[in-house]
Parts: sequence; structure tokens; C-alpha cells
Amino acid sequence: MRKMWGLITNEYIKIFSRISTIIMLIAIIGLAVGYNGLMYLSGQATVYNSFYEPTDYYREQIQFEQQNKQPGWETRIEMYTFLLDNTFTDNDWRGGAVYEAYALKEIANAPSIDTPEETDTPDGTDAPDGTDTPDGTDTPDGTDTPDGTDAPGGTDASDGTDTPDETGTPDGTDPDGAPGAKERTEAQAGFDTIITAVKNDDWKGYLNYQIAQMNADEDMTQEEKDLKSWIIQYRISHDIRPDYLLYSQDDKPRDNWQNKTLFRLENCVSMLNSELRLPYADRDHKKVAALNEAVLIDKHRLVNDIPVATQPDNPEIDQMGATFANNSFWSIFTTSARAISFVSVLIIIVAGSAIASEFSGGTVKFLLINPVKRWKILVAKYISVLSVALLMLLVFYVFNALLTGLFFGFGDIGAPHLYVSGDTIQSTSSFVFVAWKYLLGSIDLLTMATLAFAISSLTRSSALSIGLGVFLTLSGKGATLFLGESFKIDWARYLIFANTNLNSIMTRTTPFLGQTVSFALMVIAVYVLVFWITAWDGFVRRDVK
Amino acid sequence: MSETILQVSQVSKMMGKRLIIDNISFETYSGEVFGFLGPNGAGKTTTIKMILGLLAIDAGNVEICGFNVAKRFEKAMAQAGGIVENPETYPYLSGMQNLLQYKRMRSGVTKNRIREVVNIVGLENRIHEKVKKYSLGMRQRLGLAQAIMHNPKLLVLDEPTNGLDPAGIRELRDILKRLAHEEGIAVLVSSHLLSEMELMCDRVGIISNGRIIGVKSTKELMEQASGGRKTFRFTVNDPNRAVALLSDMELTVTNITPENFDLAVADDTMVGTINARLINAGIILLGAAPIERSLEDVFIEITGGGGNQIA
Repeated sequence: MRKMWGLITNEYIKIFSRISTIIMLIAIIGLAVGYNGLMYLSGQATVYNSFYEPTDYYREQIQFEQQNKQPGWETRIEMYTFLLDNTFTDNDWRGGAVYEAYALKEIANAPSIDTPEETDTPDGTDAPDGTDTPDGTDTPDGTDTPDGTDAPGGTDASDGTDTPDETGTPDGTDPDGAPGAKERTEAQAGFDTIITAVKNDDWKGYLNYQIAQMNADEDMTQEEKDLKSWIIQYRISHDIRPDYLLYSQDDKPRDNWQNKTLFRLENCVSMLNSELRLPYADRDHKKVAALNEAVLIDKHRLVNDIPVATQPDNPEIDQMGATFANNSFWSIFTTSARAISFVSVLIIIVAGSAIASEFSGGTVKFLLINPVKRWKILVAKYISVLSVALLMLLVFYVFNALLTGLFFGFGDIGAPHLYVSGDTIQSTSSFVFVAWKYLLGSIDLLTMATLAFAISSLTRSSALSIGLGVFLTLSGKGATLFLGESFKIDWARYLIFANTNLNSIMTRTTPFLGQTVSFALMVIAVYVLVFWITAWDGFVRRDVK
Repeated sequence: MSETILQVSQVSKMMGKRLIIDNISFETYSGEVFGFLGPNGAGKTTTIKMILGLLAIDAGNVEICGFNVAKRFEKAMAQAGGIVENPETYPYLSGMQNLLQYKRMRSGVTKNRIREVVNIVGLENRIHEKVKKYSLGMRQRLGLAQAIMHNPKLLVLDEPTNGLDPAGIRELRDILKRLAHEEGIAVLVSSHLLSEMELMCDRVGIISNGRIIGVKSTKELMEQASGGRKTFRFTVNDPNRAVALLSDMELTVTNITPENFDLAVADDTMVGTINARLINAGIILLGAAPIERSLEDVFIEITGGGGNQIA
């Protein structure tokens, strides 16, 4: 036993005496510093950069309409003139509401002989315009900020508020011809209501109008109506203006977490319902489950007043925006975990050279003539490689956490982790959740280290084992995903790379149906055993020539 | 008096389908330097690697102090130390750190003992420098320190004089002789340099094409090769007349030059008689000295010409 300690000590000394290891550790620390620093700086540099002055844009549009005179051009000129006279900030709800109102007015003013295609045209031109409008100009700004992921959420959100309008117009009551008289009257009434609300900055009135519109909409399911009116009622009762998400220097007062969450929720509801409108067989069931979960969690947060919480990883939701407060501890810390693939490359370098370097340096001939059986040396090497891997991870996490805390504060460290179990929301500590997640993540890394270790023993070449190890680690997962998702090759689930990402298996985001963590652990165990036999054969049994 | 330390019995080794070591046997005793002599590619390093457990033994046994290397590796290796091929230690560690690496793998090595071996090999001034700054000679010494730190009973050195300068070779020779003759270690040294072996070894095993073709003490081997006769070189003013004068005696003349001639005599006492006869005949005798036949000559004779390959 004492000898085993001696052997492990030897390995540690060898690993940490090499310049390359020291450089690696510095690189890991540098990575943590760099990531947090960049996140911090980009959070600071949220300068609002608009391609257009909105007023310039309105003038251009007026000119454009005057030249082209597409149907409804007079109405649109009126709209731009209105916008010129009333300057709204880019995120002001009134900006979007004006577009909505004038779209209704176009219906009201549409000539009765027009075909539906032609009545659609103004809508059609509106849509691209929409992305160019002040809402649209949010986007470049949004992508500049760390909240960038929210930007699509922001534009989506404006679409969301437009929904009643959009569904109202083209799908209108009269698909075969021009809007009927009843429709025109309704549109005109809608226009009047919205414009009055805009003029008085009466956003509650605007929202009430939307509820009324929604209730009249026959295409919506009751469930969707309930959810959407719940959102609007929440805004009204909690006094949260429906201003769009804006990330500029003055975002703090407007971009409160409730507004963000409400927009996200609205988004989820829209996406969920567009999924649910499909026939059952065509639905993306994973997405439906994820969205349902997200809706439950968001409502829970809003009702229980939980500004910051971590949630299970969910690619369907993540692309719609952060679930956290801007630049909070957990939002930064959890995203920085992506840098782990860099750490894994470093660990493969250590593992890949553990055995091979003894052969290439010729030192193996002094190593193996000691009164120590070879398998003991192999075990010592493996233990030291694994523990160095864990150490590197730990260094990375600890430094990362400290730096994140330094840059963004430790304020949210006690935030809960929310997840859905059955139909109810469960809450645990975020700290425990993230620690567990990273622990599972490290299994991936340790498996790859074992692979590199085995190749190292098999080939006795550092270059080959490091090269092959890094190549497999970086490409293996992608290739497996490709096999599973694009080619629907089911046996790919038995490949090691289909099983090492336990986090994605837990969140059911693998391409293989019905994959469980225990299955994955079993597959990993079999592979590790094979790697071990390979390493054993290469080091313990084979001759040293 | 001296005990058997290393026993190699009927060892064979296949490399692929080729038999590269063919049933070799020899043993080394405590207190002697055993030379393992043979041309490059004869199987010296392969044999040494089998003795030290780096290569598997396909047939036969190797025992160190009675412990079978294959079956009781740790016990056997606790009694052995060695350098195989080049003395490769970790270049990024200091000499001392390298020695501590080996200390941790062996039992009973104290810090004092390490200091002692560092002194024996004469590295005390440079031991804390990184090995990558060492010359080959210094690395060889570090390797030697590594090999003897745990007081092994068997010391195996593969081509230890490779790359050493003449002073280094002499120093190494002195160290090895002292280890063997004073500390009673069995030293096994392989080499293709015959002159080296002759000066260093007490006994020599000659290996050629994977076979041991003779194990004899250096002295024995040379006597055998000269047929029990000794050769003397007579330096005279007229070699031809001297040879003619001595033609009635039972002598073998091997080499006549304008200055001298060589005579193989059965018995040392004959030299006196010869001297008297030459002087009486008026030949000026400048000297008469015994010629030790070199191991190389012996080797060539034993291997029957195969020795051409030897440097």
C-alpha cells in the first residue's frame, strides 16, 4: 500500500514537473478569467446602435409609398406620419400597437373589389417591414448584449402581441373576397380603440382590447385563450407595461424579470399551440413536453415571485432566452460550463502521454526494472490521470465560480432550482443541481481520458494517442448525433459517444428514444472495461523492445 | 566462497518466427565481473532484457538469488539493478528527483544511501540540476546510481562504456571492479569492445547468433586459445640469424620482423635458456617480453572467423 502511494506520488511529480501541464493549468485559469471578463465587458458595452434613426426610416417609407402606390398606401403614409409626430422609444408598446392599428385600418379602407391576395399584400409588405421597424432594430442591439439570447424572444414577443391581428386579418371571416361590411366596422372600431389607447398611453385599455379580440377568435383553443389571458391579467394586476424587451443602459427599470418572463411565457404558449394544432402524429412530442414544462415553471415563478431560478437544460427553451436575471451568477456560471470541452482536450493530453511518454523517452526501461509489478504501475498511472482530470475540473469550476462571483456578484447563489415532477413544480437548491450536473458532466470527461489512456498504452505514441483522443472527443458526439438523428441508425445508441452525455440523457434530448441513465452507465462501464483491457494488454503483457 | 547470484538456464526467445536466443545458459557469482561479449545483434541486449523482466521469456528460466524472474518478479528485482541500452531518465526532473522516483519504488533505500551513491558515482555537485543539462557520461553515472541505490546483489549493465570518453571508461571500470571485488556484487556487463572486457571482466561469456559459445575466466580463455603456451617477443639485432640458431629447439616462431621475432614456448624457464644461447652466439639481445594474446584473437579463434564483425 505504501508502495502504491509512492507510485502515485511519482506519477504526480512527473505530471506536474512538465512545463506543458503548468501551461495547461494556466490556460484553464485564463479561460475562466477570459470568459468572465468578456461576459462582463460585453455586458458593459450594451450601447444602443440603431442602423436608422426611426424618423429617417419613417420618412423613407413615406417616400417609398408615394412612389410605389401599392394598395393601401395612403393608410400607411398616414401611419408613418403618425409615428413621425409621436416619437416612441424603440421598446415602447405603442410602437407595435400603431402598426397593429393601421393594419386594421387598411382592412377597414380596403376596396371591396379586391381579391384576397391583394388585400393580403399590405400585410405581406408589413411583415418584412415589421422586422425593420423599431422592434427590429432591437435585434442588433440585443445580439451585442449577453442577453442576446433574449433578442429573438423580444421580436417574437412583438409577433406574439400581433397574433390576434394577424390571425384576424388574412384568415378573416371572409376568405373568398373582400372584407365584409361587418368586418370593416369591426376593424375600424379596433383601430379607434388602439389609437385612443396609444394616444393616452393607456396600455391597460390596449390589453383589454386584446383579450376581447382573443375571446372572439374561433381558431384558438380554450386552453390557449386561458393561458394568454392569464398573462395579460398578470400584467394588468401587477402593473407591468407590455413594453418590448430592451437591453440598453437604462434597461433596469423596464426590463424587470416579470416582463421578461411574461414575454417568454407568451412565446412558449404560442409555440406550444402551433405544435398542438398539428395532427398528433406530426407533433414534436419532445418539444411539447419541454414547452409544457417551461410554461408551468414560468407561471410558478410569476405567481410565487421567484425572480431567479435555474431550470433543467432545455434546448427548446434556451434558444428563446435566458431564464435568469441578466448577468446573474448562475446564468454566467452555467453557460461557462461549455468551456469544459477545452478542459477535456487538456486532460486527454495528460492521459494520452501518461504511458506513451515513458516509451518515447525510453524511461520505461528504468521504470519497469523496479521491484514493482507492472499492473501496479498501470493502476497508479490511471489513478493519477483520473485524479488530475478531476483536479483540473475542480480548478476550472472553482476559479470560474469565484470570478463569476467577482464580476457579477454572488447575489443569486441561493436561487432555487425548479423542475417539474409529474404535474407539480419541485424546488431544490441551484447549487446542488449545478454541482450534480457537473459531476455527471465529468463522467464524460473521465471516459474520454480512459480512452486516451488506452490508446496511449496500445500505440505507445503520445502524438497518436493525443491526436486520436482529441479527434474522437470533438467529433464523436457530433457523428453519433448525426447517425442517430439523420440516418435513424438505432444501433448507434450503443456507441460510447451516445452515452457519455448523461445530462442530455437526463433531460431526454438525445436522438435515441427511451435512453435511460442506467442504460448509459452500463454502456459506459462496458466500454471502460474494454479500454482497460486494452491498456492492460499494452502495458502489462507486451514486451518492452 | 562465492554464491550464484544469476542463473540463466536454457533460455530461448522468439521474435516473430525467428529464434533469436537459442537455449542459452550461464551463471554469475558474487564478487565477479562477468562480461557478456558478442557482436552487435548477437542477442546481448535481448538476454539482458529477459533477465530484467522487460521481455517475456519464451522457454527456460532466469533466477536472481533463487527467485524466478517470471514468477516472483518483485522478489527477484529487489536483488537486481541495471541499465538497459541508454540511461534514459526523466529530463525535466533533477538528478536527485529522478533518484527519488526510484527510491519510492524500492524498499529500504534511505536518504543517506542516496547521498552515498551520488558520491560513489561522483555527481554530488550536479545532482540538483535538471537531467536535460547532463552530458551522456553524467547520465550514465546517474543511471549507475539508480542501479546500485538499493544495494542489489546483481548489477546488469548493457554496453556501459558506450559514449564515454577514455577517462570515463576507466572511472567506470574502477567503480565496477570495486563494487564486485569489495562489495561482493555480481556484475554483468555486456559489450562488443573486447579490449574493455579484457581489462574489466573476471569471466567472459561469448555470445554469437543467440548462442553462448563459451564461458570461461578471462585467463582460462586466453590460455586455452594459445594451447597452454606463452608467446614471448624477442627484440634482437638480427632476428633471422637468431631464429636459425634456435631451430633445433622445440619452438614455434610466429612472427619475424627486422627488429624482433615472437616465440611460443611451453614453459617460462625455456626463456632463460634461449637468452643464454643468443648471447653466447653474439646476438645482441635488447629485450624479451611476454605477449598476452588479446581477447580479440581468442574470440576470432573461437568463433572461427565470425569475429570479423567485431569492432
